[in-house]
Amino acid sequence: MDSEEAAARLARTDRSTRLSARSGAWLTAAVVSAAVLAVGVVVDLELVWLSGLVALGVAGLWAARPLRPRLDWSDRIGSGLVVGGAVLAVIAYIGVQLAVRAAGWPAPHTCSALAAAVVVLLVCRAGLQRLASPAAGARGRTR
Amino acid sequence: MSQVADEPEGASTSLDPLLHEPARLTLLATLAPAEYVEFSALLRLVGVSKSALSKHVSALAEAGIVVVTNAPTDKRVRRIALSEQGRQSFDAYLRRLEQIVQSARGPVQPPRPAAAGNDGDRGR
Repeated sequence: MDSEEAAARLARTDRSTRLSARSGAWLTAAVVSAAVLAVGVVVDLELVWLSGLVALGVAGLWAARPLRPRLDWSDRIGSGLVVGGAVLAVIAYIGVQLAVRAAGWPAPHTCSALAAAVVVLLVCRAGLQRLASPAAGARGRTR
Repeated sequence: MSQVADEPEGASTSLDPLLHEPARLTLLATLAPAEYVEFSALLRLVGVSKSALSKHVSALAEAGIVVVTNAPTDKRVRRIALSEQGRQSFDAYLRRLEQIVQSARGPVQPPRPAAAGNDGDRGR
């Protein structure tokens, strides 16, 4: 095998690894976002009894993910993004709820949960993607 | 000099033939950042036919590179994961590829000192 073929293989391998890590991160973040949104809707509808079903549904979705990312928490930026994203999601939840209540809009919990879900999808998902592919990232950086 | 020239040759011969198939390599690269991937998702990510993927997975499972289990929620769903041995073999394979690429870049670097030497013996 010559070096060009080896480089092409390495590039293709990295591409596949990134695609897999991205899919896993999106799936995980989507399940968490759905959970956050469901909690907001349940609280707004004042159907607390539904929270048990919601919890079951979320647990089912979590277990039925077709791809589970392998997370390496040694990556500082990745873990920072996940933890920071979670904190930011809580802040967004509280901040948006205050704003919605001040504006007198209906369904404040749903609106704030939507904001938190977006933060999870944008920030935590990016962190998860990084945590899932630290080796590929390191190889890319050394090149 | 012969050592540098022989390096890619040696690395090439030590590449694991089981992983050398492009589709298998893509499969392993897809499994590497995951705890497991379901067969249907793997099919979409690897982009080969169902029968071809099934054959590759069977061959790799026989060699102990991957582990096939059934999903606890649905026994019909197959989950494929890299075994510890598979992870090591895959990492070793990638290291070999990197060695080949780096050893090919090696001879490209010497012109720098040679060019410096031509510039009026600056290094002496």
